[in-house]
Amino acid sequence: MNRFSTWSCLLLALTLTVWGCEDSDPDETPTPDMGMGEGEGEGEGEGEGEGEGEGEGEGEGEGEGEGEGEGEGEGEGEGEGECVPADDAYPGDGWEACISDDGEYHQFGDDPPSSIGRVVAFENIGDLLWRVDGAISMDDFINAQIIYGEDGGVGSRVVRRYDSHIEKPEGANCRDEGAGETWPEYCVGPASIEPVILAAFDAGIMGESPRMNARRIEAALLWFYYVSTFKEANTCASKAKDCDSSWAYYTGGEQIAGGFGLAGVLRAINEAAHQAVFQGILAVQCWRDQDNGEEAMDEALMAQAQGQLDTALDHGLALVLGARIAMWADADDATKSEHWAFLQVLGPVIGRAAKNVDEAMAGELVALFEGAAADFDAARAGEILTTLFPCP
Amino acid sequence: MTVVGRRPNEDTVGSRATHQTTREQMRRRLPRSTPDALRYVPGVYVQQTAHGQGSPYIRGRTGQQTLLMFDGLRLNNALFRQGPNQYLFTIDMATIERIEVLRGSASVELGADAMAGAVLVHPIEPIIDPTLVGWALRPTAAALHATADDQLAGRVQLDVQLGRDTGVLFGFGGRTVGQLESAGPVDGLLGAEDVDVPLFEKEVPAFEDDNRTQLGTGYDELTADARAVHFLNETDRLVAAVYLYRQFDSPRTDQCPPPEAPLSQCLTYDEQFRTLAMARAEFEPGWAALATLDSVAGYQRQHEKRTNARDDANAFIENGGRDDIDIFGFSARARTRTLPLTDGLRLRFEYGVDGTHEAVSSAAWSILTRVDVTRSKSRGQYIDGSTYDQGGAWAVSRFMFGQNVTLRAGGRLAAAVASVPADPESETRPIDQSWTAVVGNAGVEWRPWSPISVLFNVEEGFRTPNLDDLSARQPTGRGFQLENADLRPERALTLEVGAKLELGWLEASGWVFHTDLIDVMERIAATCPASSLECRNSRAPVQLVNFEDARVQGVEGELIAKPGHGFDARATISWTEGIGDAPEGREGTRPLSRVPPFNGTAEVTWTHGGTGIYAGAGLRWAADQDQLSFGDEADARIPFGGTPGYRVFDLRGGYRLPNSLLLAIVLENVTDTPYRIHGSSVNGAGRGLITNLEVSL
Repeated sequence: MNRFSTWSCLLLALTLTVWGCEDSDPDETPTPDMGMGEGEGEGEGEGEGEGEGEGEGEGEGEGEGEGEGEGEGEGEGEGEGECVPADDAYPGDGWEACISDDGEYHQFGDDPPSSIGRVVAFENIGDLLWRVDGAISMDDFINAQIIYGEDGGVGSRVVRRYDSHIEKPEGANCRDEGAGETWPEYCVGPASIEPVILAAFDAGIMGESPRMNARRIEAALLWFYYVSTFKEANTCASKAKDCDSSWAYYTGGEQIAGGFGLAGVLRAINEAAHQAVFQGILAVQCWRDQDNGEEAMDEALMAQAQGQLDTALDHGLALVLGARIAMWADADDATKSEHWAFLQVLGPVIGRAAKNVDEAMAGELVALFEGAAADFDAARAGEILTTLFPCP
Repeated sequence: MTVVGRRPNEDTVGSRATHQTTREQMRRRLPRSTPDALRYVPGVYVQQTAHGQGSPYIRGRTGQQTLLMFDGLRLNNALFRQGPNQYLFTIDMATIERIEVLRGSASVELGADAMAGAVLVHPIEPIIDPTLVGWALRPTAAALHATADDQLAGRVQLDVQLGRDTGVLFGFGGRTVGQLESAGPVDGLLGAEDVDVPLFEKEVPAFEDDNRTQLGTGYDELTADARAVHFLNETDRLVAAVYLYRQFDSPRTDQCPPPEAPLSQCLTYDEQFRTLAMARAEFEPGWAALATLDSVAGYQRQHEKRTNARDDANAFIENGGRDDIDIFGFSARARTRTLPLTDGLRLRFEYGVDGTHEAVSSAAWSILTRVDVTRSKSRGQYIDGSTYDQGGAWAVSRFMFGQNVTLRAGGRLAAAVASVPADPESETRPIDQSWTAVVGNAGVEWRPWSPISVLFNVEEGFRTPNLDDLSARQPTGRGFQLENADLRPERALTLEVGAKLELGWLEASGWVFHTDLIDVMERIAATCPASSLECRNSRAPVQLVNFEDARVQGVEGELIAKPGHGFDARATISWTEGIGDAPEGREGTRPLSRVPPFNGTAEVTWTHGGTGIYAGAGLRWAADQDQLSFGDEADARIPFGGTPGYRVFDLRGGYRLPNSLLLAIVLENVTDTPYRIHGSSVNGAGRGLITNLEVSL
């Protein structure tokens, strides 16, 4: 009995020694080798996605893609000089003096909003994926997805983002598992944005259609910043610091003369449109500066400010799409597919706003984006966008 | 000669505010962990950031500002972070004979970090019966089950005696702990509309659909230990011991999920290990300059591996990290004989040296799970290859005037050196810093009547900046903490007045204290390095600076009555107030973070001497805590407006057959009261039964 106890104890101690050893750190894994060149991936991916023979010529020309600032000048001047601010727009006579009157955004919170980091991520990912002169490697996708998936990073917000344009369904909580399936319109992040991004990363890492997948990621992230800028301006009604996030999601934490992320993209296309969005953000800040209780009470002023921002954002989105349509139209066969990939993701997003103006034209526009590239009528799409969103 | 524990350092203990929690008390109270065993100690309040963690607040401070020691070895190391930590949890409760808590600064005798107090853990010893001839085996098996967290624990222990002088104790244990069921959510003292914090920040903890079972709780644990004692003669002995603690899959409750994140998101400590090996020599040569000598040397390794990931169909990344620290430490304490100086005046010195060398290994990585790709980061939470050395020498003189008055005065000279390599990729600059500190103490004990003593102490404490302060990049409750290589030591000065009454059947003690905290490190807003996206993604990049002067003051009392007939009644009471400078950019003063509320305990136990049957009850109570720092107001763990008070009753009963059987049962939280220890992420257990059975042969 005693001898048994001794050996049992020693055996258990030995077991613990083995079982209780520290797990080793994971080794870096090599980049998956799919044995595919970029051209192969491009053509294959496009063919699968479209089912319409879009693969023609897709595999060629990788490495010649658009560099940074490719949108610059595309839409410059579009609409400029024709727009007159609405009577009730900020800044204007109808507004009482407020903190925004010096033309700068002033934070409500003590700390810089963390949203800035999530816009920096857009630029860092862009440096890897869509501002690249040469080929986009699988490693670039890996590094980009690691940036996307940083703790507290842009991915952590995409997965729970809801669209404040949509009335909240009863009981909706976009944190819940399956929220995307249950409330697809409202929980736009988990339902629509994240799946596009993850699928594009998966495909990109596997070497499939790198440029197209890079553009899908770019478009989906711009969708996220577009939704987030408005969402934070809405929740600012109960939490003033969210106005800071709204500003940061649009500008990356900069003033009107600067801005990156969505602001950088729009500013490169149309300075006036960028300024209009910034003025919308200042309008929101001005409202919250005046209506400065814990909970905002002045619903009329809130609606006016948020409406100004919303209109400017929609106009900005229309210009981003218009510029991309122009690029698609002008592109050679080799690069057309990547712009089309962008448009397919971001194009239908304008449908909700377009529907508010003209349901029939909105339907036509969305159908164009959701159709086949070969059938895409760039001129008509541009015309509809200009018609529906003439001014911020 | 039956050894049940090492000699207590009576001189340190006797003149200070102390409390001992014994193994017998723990067996009746059935705490869930070593920190939890301190919940009946006056002046101590145990915060839990997770179910598998626990950090004792002593006189309103915790973490780096309190010292943890196990059998004379420092558990504090250079990776201890500001605020609560989990490291006392990694001491296996089953290996503890008693826990001594010393309240107030004590750096002269105990070294760095003993700014607000110290927890001194003393392990169980093998039984050595000097009348024994030959050898003996004394096996013990214990099993425990708790319903609230579906905990199942077991331990087998073998006490081996070899001859008259040598004993070896082996132990092996394990437990599996499920999700903790509370009595329900705890509401704040104010509504969400009354405070300037967003609603989502207070959704800690998250619950299952039953609104009782807490997400982010539960863990597994394995332990093993061996302790050999050999007596050279009646007073001198050698000890060698090894303690292994292995905790697996312990979620950090407030990050499972983090506020606003998907419910499937969780930060989990995959591995939380402690390895401790030590050797001790205790001698009593009886010389004038060296009457006793107690020296200990040891090696410890603290290993931590964590993963932050989602657990759902769209999960795509696991961000992981590992931090290890190897610590080589030694300590030697000695005392002189009591030397008569003049008629009625005697003098004795205690003195010692101690030191540690600590080396850090740290890594971080990301795994893209959908494509099975792993990439390492340039640095972990700490910089790989960092080292920290510290040590000191101290002496305390004790003048005894007759039997009634004792004067005490001493000092310590301490030094620390930190070395951190550069990591250009993450814009981390190298650090080669050193500090010295001189601290002193003084005290007087007056016994106007032999059962009564009145004590007055002035004690200094200090802590030099450690590697966590200097070089860590880590998420904190408020944001993301960046390193600061230019920190200075923190200091503390405690003034305390106490009285003790010891009548045999009645013991009472009361203390009033005031501690000034000088150059205390506080987090202020910082700028993220461009390369640290993790920092830029955080709500608030912060950095420690020597910013704040603060004070903590309070009152503590304890009463123990043993009126006979097997009754034992105890009560404690503690009130603490912590005030500090307002954070940068604000004026005035503010409460210090997470200072415990006014709280206390009461217990009564009746033991039938003839049969060993016992029964009793325990009460823990706390008042509302609405004294919040700015950080507390935004802390997801603290309800709106503060943490509400509570009264939690336990009923206890059991049967003890000496040396063969112990059955202990606790009906915890009899009234099923929802409650939370202030600052915790976890609500206390709801009504449940804890049963412990221990059989010895």
